[in-house]
Amino acid sequence: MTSLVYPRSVGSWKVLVVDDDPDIRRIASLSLERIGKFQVTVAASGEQAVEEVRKDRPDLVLLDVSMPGTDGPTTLQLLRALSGCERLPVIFFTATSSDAEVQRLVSLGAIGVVPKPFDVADLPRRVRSIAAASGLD
Amino acid sequence: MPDPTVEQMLAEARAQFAASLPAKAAAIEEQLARGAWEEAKRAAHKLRGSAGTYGFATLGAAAAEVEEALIASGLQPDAGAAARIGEKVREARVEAERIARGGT
Repeated sequence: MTSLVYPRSVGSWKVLVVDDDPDIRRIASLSLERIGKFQVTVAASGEQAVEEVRKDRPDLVLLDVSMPGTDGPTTLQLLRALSGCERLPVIFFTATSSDAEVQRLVSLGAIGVVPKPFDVADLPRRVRSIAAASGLD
Repeated sequence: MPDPTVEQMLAEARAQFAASLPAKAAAIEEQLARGAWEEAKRAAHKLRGSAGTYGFATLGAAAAEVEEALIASGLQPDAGAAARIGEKVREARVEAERIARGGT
């Protein structure tokens, strides 16, 4: 597995939340910012995510799998193609969280998967836990 | 979650989401009525994830049933399957309206 090394502690990370559903963007941002104390930006599509990452590279991306147009896996490929983002940590959000699907998403290069629906109070801990398991904290 | 401001913000977000639910369920009914199966599947998928996340598990489960029934039909339900899916959506709308009236 490729080593992922980040200079700052996970607690101060900039997290980009990518989801076409404004209700999910709102609640995930609220959870990560107010409970998790992350810095959060949002994007409503894969294309917006690429723009956001170009403008202000986050430390971690939470990326919805099922989006119209450019879906999560395709967005991951686009992000990986950006200079300096070959190792950008990405966690997928998905409503389809069978073992096989989780394995598939991880094989695409994600460091983990957060199933939907998720526990709003617990989301920051889950993100930290996945990051820690990948050696990122 | 000891910060009362966070709790207040979450409660506000949940109340606004609850108020939006009847329109979301009605939109799926309308999509089904005009045979926009892909749109309906996508809307049900969204509702599945968001309703559960906002704490409305019964509605999330109803939306999941709609999404899965549409997928099982290959997005080309025959008349019988469309009627069954329509009934599931009506149940989801009743639940959405109950939540919007202040149900939990």
